[in-house]
Amino acid sequence: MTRGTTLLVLFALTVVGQALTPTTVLTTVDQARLKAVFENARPFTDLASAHYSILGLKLLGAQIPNTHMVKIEGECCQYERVEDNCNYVKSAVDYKSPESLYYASAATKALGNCQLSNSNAQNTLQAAIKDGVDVPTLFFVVSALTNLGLPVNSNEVVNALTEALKTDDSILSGSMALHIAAQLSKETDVKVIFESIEDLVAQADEVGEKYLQFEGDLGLTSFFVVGAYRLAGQQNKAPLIMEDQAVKFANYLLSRKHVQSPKNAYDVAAGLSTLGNNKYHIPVCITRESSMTVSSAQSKVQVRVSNVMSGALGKLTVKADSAERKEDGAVVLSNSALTAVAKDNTLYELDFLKTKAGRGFYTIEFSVAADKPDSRLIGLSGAQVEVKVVTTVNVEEVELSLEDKDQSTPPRVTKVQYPQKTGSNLAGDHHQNLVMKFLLKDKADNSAMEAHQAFVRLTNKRTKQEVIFVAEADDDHVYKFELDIGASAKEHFNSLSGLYAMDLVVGDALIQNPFAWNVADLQLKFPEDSATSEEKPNLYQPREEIKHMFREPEVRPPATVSTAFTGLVLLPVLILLGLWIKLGVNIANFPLSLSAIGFHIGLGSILVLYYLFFVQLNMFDTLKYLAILGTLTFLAGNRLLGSIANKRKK
Amino acid sequence: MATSQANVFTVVSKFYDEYVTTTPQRLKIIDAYLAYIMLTGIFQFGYCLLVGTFPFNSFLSGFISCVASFVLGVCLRVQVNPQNRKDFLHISPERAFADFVFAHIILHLVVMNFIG
Repeated sequence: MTRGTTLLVLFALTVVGQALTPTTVLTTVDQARLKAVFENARPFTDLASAHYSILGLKLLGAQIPNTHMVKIEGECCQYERVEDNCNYVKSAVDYKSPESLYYASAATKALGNCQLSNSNAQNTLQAAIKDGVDVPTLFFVVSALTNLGLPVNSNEVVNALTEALKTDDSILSGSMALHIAAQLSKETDVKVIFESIEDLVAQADEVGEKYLQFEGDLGLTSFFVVGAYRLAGQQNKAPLIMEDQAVKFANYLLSRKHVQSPKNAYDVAAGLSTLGNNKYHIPVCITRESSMTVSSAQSKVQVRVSNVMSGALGKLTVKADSAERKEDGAVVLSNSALTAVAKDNTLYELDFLKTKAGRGFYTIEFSVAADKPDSRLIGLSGAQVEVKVVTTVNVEEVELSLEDKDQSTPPRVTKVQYPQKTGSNLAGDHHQNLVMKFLLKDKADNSAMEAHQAFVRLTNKRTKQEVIFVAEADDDHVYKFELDIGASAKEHFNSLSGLYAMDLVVGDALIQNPFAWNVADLQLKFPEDSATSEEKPNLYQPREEIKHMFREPEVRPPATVSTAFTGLVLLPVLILLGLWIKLGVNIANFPLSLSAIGFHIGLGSILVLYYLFFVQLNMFDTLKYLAILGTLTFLAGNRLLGSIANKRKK
Repeated sequence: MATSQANVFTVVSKFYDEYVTTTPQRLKIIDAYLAYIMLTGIFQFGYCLLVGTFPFNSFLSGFISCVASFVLGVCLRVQVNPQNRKDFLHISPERAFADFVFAHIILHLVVMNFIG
């Protein structure tokens, strides 16, 4: 199985071809930031973060701050200096938990002059190795025993580990197995565990052909990398990790270097530290140290060649294999050696302008070889660095002319020299065209060039309004700007006649001296009738205040009119009464019975109720009273009308 | 011309005479009531035309009260008229009057609500 995979691996290597190299490096600035993360973990909140903080600082070679000020409980603004690290670890450790003992023992080992109670620890740890123990517990126990200098029964551990791994095939447990095996005695047979490195790497996920990681988990990836190289170092055998894979692991760890918590910072530092110094794979990083711009003032391109921790790699020969211009693919140098910079043994430089490369963006490819052959170094070729070569631009052969549209008179040509201005103002009106021609020249080789930005800006001197036009170059790189004064009057100038300042604005990424040059002042006259005499209202000034108008009451007729009409409306009542009297309405026959009186009183009371409804009551109350009164009226009316009907029938 | 005027005048006076003699007194009472309602409605409408429709709900409720009262009055007159006895065999005049009163109670409740 291993031979097959090895053949496959070799085959894959040959097919891939171009070697992979790290994308960036853990600079001194990055390392300082990680140190700050560790230092800011104080005062410690739990044993784990104390563990990571102490180990992290030791790994980065920094001083572990020993004391700090702690606020005294209850009293304001009084502090006392506390002997921290060791006391904290000793107070926070839980002697009954292997995990806690693991964190504490690693911390005390890093501190050096700190001692835990070994007897207590030993009892717990050795009791923990029993039947059915799981891999994490084994990891904590073996690591703690090793850190405390206590004896470890390697055979017992290996058997328990093999047993536990049968049911647990997670990547974390696999990585823990590597760490455990690396701490056992050399005679122990850990071949199976060593070969599991290859299987574990196969489970890693590749991202974009640049990164290799486990489940997107920084801690897991770092833990695996450290474990694999640790075991390989102990076994004195190269781990079955390919060079490309090692570089991709390095790239992933480097991509996560902006972390904030002590655990994550430790993972980054530990993983990269392993890849910066082990017996088998040391990725070589090449990063640009000088500024991206190469000009006659600073013609040297400086690169840093180091391991992933920005550490020196000994004497190296660094070569620039090629430098290719992005615009047209021209290759301007090949196989040039870089010279080492005296004061820094990781810096190398190349005088780029010696290649007589013109302006443009260049990609330089490097390769590295160690003076003393070192098989550990990987990623030795294919590193690329981008620079841009800039130049100074001169503007020449500037000609301004005002031509009559009908070509009746020959145009007057005014020549201007940069950076001067025309002596007198030019005057143009709507019969004429304004034409400007100019040439941009690269100072380095005196060739005509084009710039990204070649604008002509006309500013009205009074209103400060600007109009910007683009100048276009023809095939010979001669720029021409043409303005039809009459046609452009309305659209661009709002027909505002007056004195305009004309500026030529030139800029480009590859020009060192972009400029805005006031070429001339123009007196432009536009046709009067289409002139908008008032200026466009400035949109950005405060507007007129809008006064809120409350809703005006409706127009009502005067009181006399409405009173008169009220009277008029009540008039028909009188007419009705008159008519009824004339007809001889028979009131005499009014039966003085209870039902009759009740009925009429009921009706009257309903009308009174309606009046009260109008002035005071709401609908619910009205309905309530109406129900009562209505029932009474109904009963009375029923009786009354019934008696009338009977009387009539009789 | 004079003949057509004379014709109209004679027709109207004849109609008036016949009305006075033939119509039972009860119906005349109801007719007087209807005339009163109509006058009130006309005055209200005239006022609205004069001064505008504000407030519209009050105008509507008053005017519709007149219209509805007129309609109910006409219904009462139709049901009480002895000449229509055949059409309303099961509705005695007292019953018609009771319906009239009941409808008016509901009408006036709604009008009072809407008049604002």
